[in-house]
Amino acid sequence: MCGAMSLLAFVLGFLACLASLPGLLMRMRVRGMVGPDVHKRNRPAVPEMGGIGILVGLAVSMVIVSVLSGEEAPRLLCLLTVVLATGVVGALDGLRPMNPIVKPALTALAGLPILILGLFYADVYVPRPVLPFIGPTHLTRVYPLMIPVAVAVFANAVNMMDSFNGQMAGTSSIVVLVQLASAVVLGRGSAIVMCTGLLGCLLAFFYFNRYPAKTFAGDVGSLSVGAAIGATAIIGRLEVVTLVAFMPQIMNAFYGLATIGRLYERREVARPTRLLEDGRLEATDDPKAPITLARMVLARGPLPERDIVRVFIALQAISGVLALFTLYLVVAAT
Amino acid sequence: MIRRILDSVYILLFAWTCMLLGAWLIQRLIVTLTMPIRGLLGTLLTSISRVAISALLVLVWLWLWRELVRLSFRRSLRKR
Repeated sequence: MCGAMSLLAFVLGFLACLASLPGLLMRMRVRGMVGPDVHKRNRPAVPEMGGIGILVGLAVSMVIVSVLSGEEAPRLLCLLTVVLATGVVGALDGLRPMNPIVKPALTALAGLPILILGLFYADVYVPRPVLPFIGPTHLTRVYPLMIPVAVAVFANAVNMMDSFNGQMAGTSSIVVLVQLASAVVLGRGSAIVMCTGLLGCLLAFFYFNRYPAKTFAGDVGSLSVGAAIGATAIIGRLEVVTLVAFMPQIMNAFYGLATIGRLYERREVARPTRLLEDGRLEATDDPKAPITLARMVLARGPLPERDIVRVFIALQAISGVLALFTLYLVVAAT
Repeated sequence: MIRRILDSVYILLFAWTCMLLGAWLIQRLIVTLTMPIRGLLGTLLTSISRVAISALLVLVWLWLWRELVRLSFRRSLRKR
């Protein structure tokens, strides 16, 4: 049953995202919802809110699977509510840029459906994460407080890692794959369905977002994908494994915050990279620019955009291997 | 390309190892820590000291992580 539902979630998510995007992109072009691809010499105009396709795919997938599998419905619809709420925050930010404190605060509020549904359904979240070496912990009071924070951290960390063509969809797909493998090992049925649904959407979106991008995810897409990964970690009880698989995103966010010293918006700080005449990207020497992961990668010398994304995907894969090793430690501690 | 990946992999491994070690240290040493004072004051002091030492450990970890990143970034820039 779970296997069939997972496959259905994947196929529905993939097809709905794939089918919705061409029409969406055409409408965005007609309405002028495009932005320049600043990492190309000719700065082509690219539709900016293609992430809506991910929301459409996930909504179709989760609603249909919820209807067909009654008992998983609260958890699946909970995930969908969190993702849609974050998507609304992202869409508002895309249309009118928000203050760097308001945006994380609003994405944290998007995590509230998990807490609210947790009041009615006991197993929407379980405040007993299993840690490596330590085993099950009892964080009955702290865990609920951490849920909105976790959703905000995951959503904004993915958002900060959406700079290059195919970067967000490629790296997030690896995180979701690791979550899926962990859910299979730990036998978490609802998490398997959530992961396959999200993976289907991400792979379809990657087709449009890979180099040279036909669309960007925009804040609506990147915040939603981050929130989906965070919500899956909480609802599917995959907290520690997800955290380790997510290390490149955390590193990228941490480097930026540690060098700037506060929450910031990309538009308000010096650019960490610059485009060269030959189309490659180079790290800037500007001491005021944040040390992002991209700037770290480019510190050794310029690279074409496509190669930068390959480095990111390799790093994410290594992080995924560490996450699977952590899963082994978690299983051993249980 | 491999050098660029390795630059970040060292930091990734450092952060991951510290995370696991930190969790183990907190569980094995800090959670078992108790103040030699009886009563409510003792319980309060024990709880405060556990949280304070754990927080200090996390801050040291974050500081070391940040310094490692800065060092690695400057070194890579010099080699450019």
